[in-house]
Amino acid sequence: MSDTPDPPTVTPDVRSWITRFFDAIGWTEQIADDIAQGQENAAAEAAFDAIADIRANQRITDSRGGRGTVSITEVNGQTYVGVNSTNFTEEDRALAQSWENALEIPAGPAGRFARQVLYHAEAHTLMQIHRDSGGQMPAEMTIYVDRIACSACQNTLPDLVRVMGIETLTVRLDDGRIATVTRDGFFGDWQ
Amino acid sequence: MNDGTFTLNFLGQGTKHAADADEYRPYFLEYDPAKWAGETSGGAFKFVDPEGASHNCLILHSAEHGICLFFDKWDKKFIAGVATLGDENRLQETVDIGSDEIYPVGCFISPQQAWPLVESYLNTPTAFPQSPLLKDVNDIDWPAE
Repeated sequence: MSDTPDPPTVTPDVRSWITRFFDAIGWTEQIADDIAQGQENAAAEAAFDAIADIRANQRITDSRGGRGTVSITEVNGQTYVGVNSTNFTEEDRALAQSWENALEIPAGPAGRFARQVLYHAEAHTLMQIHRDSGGQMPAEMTIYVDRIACSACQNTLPDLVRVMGIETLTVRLDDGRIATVTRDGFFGDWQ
Repeated sequence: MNDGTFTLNFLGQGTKHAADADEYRPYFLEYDPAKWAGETSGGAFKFVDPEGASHNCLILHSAEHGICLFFDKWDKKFIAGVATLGDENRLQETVDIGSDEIYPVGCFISPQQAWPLVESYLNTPTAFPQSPLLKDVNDIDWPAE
């Protein structure tokens, strides 16, 4: 038998007192939201600092020699970095090609528009996480990207998150704007 | 009137759900490349019908070459697609309109030519626009990779 006493019964009166106490000290849902927002802002700051470090050590470019795109997130204690296809390794290309099949993107010319998403930074990040987690993707996750998703990604990322089993993908930009991707679409609610 | 839901993303503006042709017409008929010089290279319009199939219109802009449109239908997997064909002789040339957003130059048409197709989609998203400027994507001869 444990010597731990039973917890006190919380009667309706006590519950009311607790509610009044937290009201009195100003603990509201707004404060809880502010704390969560502060944590998200700190995570975003760390993510974009990490992207800056990556760029300082490696030139991320595109097919024209311009500035490429970097995406980053952390899952299960591991950092994942995504880039656009000019910066892909052969292993990255093989990974993207495997997802063409998973998404049932047709081979040949018919698939050339739809497959673009798999060769961009956002999907590159997600595909690596999916591979390393054995397909156990978080239901909700945030990736940090230093460029707004292109039109092709806005078009096809919803299909990718559906197939991967992600319920809500938050895409956070370095200026604080946030887009939400679900199986229903890409929503940039920043107006 | 179509039962279903539009999700309209255009030039990095916030997502809209009302298929208001007036909103987009000036970008095509009063074309000014500076107005397209936003953060994205065009637009992604999606219409999900009551059965859950999505009917998409991808709008791709190049200041040098104009507009490329790609319409497709997905019902969990790709069903069919058509794309604009401006110059068959330039399909083997490609242009990168963003960060590895690579498309055949021959698929671009003028903004004025593109608008009726976009307007048709906004009015009747479940049917591909009818136009000699559109070609089945299976028949578009992309450069080899």
